Amino acid sequence: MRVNITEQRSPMFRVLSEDQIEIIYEAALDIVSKTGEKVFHEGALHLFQQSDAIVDGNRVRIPVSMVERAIKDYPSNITVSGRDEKRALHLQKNRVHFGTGSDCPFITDRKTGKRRRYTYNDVAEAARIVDYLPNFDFFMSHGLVSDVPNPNTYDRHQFLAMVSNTAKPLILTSVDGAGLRDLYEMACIIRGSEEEFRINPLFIIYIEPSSPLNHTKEAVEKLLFSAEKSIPAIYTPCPSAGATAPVTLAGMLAQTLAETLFGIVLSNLKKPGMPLIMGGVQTIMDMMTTTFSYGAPELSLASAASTDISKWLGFPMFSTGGCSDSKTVDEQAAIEATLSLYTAMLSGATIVHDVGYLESGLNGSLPMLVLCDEIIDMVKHICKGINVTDDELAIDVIDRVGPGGHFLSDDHTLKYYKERFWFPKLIDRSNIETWIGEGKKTLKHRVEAKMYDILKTHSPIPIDENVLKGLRNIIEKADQTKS
Amino acid sequence: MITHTAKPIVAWSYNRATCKDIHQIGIVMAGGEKEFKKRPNYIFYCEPLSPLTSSYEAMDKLLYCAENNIPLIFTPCCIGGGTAPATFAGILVNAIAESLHGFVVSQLKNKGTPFIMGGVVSIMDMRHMTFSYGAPELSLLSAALTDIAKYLGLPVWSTAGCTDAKTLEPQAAVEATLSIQSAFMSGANLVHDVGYVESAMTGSLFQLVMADEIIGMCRRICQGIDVNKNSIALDTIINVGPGGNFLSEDHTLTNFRKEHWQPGLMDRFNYEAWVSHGKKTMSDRIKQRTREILDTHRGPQVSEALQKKVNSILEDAEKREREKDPLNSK
Repeated sequence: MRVNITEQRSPMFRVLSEDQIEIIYEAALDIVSKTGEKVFHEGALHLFQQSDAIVDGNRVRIPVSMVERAIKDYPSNITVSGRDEKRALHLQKNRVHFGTGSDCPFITDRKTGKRRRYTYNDVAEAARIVDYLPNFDFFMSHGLVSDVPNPNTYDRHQFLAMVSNTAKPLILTSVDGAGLRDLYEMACIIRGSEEEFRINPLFIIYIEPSSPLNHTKEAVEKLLFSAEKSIPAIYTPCPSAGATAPVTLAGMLAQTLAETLFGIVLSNLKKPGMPLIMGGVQTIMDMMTTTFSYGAPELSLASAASTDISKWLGFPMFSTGGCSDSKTVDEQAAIEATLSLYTAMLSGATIVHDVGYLESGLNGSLPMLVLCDEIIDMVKHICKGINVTDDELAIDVIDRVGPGGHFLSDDHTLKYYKERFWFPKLIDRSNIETWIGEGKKTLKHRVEAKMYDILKTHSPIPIDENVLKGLRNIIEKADQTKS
Repeated sequence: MITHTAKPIVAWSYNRATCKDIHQIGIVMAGGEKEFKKRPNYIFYCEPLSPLTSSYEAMDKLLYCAENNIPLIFTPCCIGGGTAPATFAGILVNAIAESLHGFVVSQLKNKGTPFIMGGVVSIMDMRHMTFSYGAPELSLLSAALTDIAKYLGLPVWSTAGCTDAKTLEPQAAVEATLSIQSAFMSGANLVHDVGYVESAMTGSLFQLVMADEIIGMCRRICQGIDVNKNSIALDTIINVGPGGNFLSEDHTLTNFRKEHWQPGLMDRFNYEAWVSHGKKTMSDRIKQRTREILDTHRGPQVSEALQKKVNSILEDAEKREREKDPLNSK
């Protein structure tokens, strides 16, 4: 028998070497300790003042030793599950989960074909589609609920639309600290208690500092509340190379990491060891149109590089894929989504969000979700790699069939093809006569038909009426106090 | 082909005689036999019949190329579940065995003659019995074959940019992107079949134009990230500071062209600009671009004397083939 065999069970891919990661990390430490970052939250400034950090007005510089101590305090394994606890995110190194993004203002109305504002009902429909699609592991709102009494309470309504229409894990956005507190209370009602939420969190909160090197009051409120309650949180800068970060990708990575490290230290001062996820939508600003590009190859590349850094630091990674600058589901949307989903999958990013975005993150498309589900399925199949075993090498089968024969009816083929071959659901491989006979349908037609089918037939596990009442109470109270 | 593009050619033909015709044309276009040997202007493509069979013509063409030092691609087309086992490792075993067979014959004839191994390695779609050109397995297997070729030290002929879709549509885009990115990352030397639609039954011009854009994007990813003092831009970050803007920095202006891929067909307008430009989709832009290329781009200038020489080779060949097969003569 053979000994000392290494087996490669999946394709290998990385963008940065360990040396390159260290250079970027050192640059980030330089930024955190020498340039410093601004924070607009009194409580946070107070926490820094009591530490070894140097506080000068809103500007805070953090000694390297403090950063390195803080990094060691964080978990690299986080589990979050949905209302259905079987549907869980296991945030572990190289374990990839896909899902939507959040808060797109627009949707293309599927009846009129016109672009309009997102409503509660649209978010509910997006949730139902994601609840159905097997390659989606979590749900973010996809769109921003706009038909609410007060924009300052949209987050509570949005959460209700999401949680009552999918049993999958959720990633939420919130207006501010008070918003997050309400979302947390709602989630605790669903889980039964604060203790149950802590053991088995229902959602992850999305928090965004503002690049370059600014940490807003709202972002910090949310971060500190998450630390206090052990709510899994994503602290994710969204820099665009050339506008809010250096035009060069290495510089953008260094700056993003500096912003992340700042968040790590701050939350650590509040309470060490909270479940924290690093990340970022890292892409370029298109110099011709000044668009924050969601389809640029640089988004794929920078995100994969960031994933390399996250693995090195031991943090789960919130990455980006399946999104496009196209205004409609066309070839461009397909190319951009495929490239970013494939790269994100290969990179081993823990969470891949924004799947289904069109129009550079302004249009939360429903058909795009269905299309991306199929693409993810293909990408996953490639990442299963190749089994090299005696039986799969099939030398005796090749010998048995011999020159000029065929394998179609061989037992070996029948034994393996179902398991090894990918079976398309929406991709078409018929011959041209069949294709013409069936009405020359393109992938876009099949995607739309599937979307209608899901909306017509799929209903998620219903939510308990008493629980719903409790959730509505919190929302009503917020609507009254905020108006 | 050779009179309409200045790029290198991969050529194919039926048998030794036509293979020789092509060789003669190649020599004429290269400016003589010595020039052709120094810098061949085409590679000859030839394929065995999977599994494990080579026709007389295939071997005869292979021998002709070996005799004349013509670079040769010998490329099995293994269909998992059809002409090869259904398991991926088995498909690869089959493909390599056939490539090695061709390689040994070529080297026995003329040791050191340029040989490129290859293979279109994919699966048979069991529902429609088509040889799938869009399957994710094609991407995976081609990349694996490239790994093996690198191990063997032979250049490799790989496959990408093709689709099972029948027309220019999102499926064609998905499948082409997946295979092009895989081929790029695997480091395959020659990636062919770019532009095939309908499982290699239709050679689409639109698919070529679309694939050109995809290749540009994949190339940007495969260029990776430069990590050095200039690209980390610490001074610029310090200079801009918290809450600042990099847009008007010198560092931005001097680096953006080098660092950022410039789209040719991808649309990054905002919604209003897109509407005012006529709501064009990618396929509209591809079709427009294809027409522009055909209307405006001219291939290389071929001198009259050269064209005459090529024509006379063609005429001789036609005459010969007519005499061989009287049914073909008018």
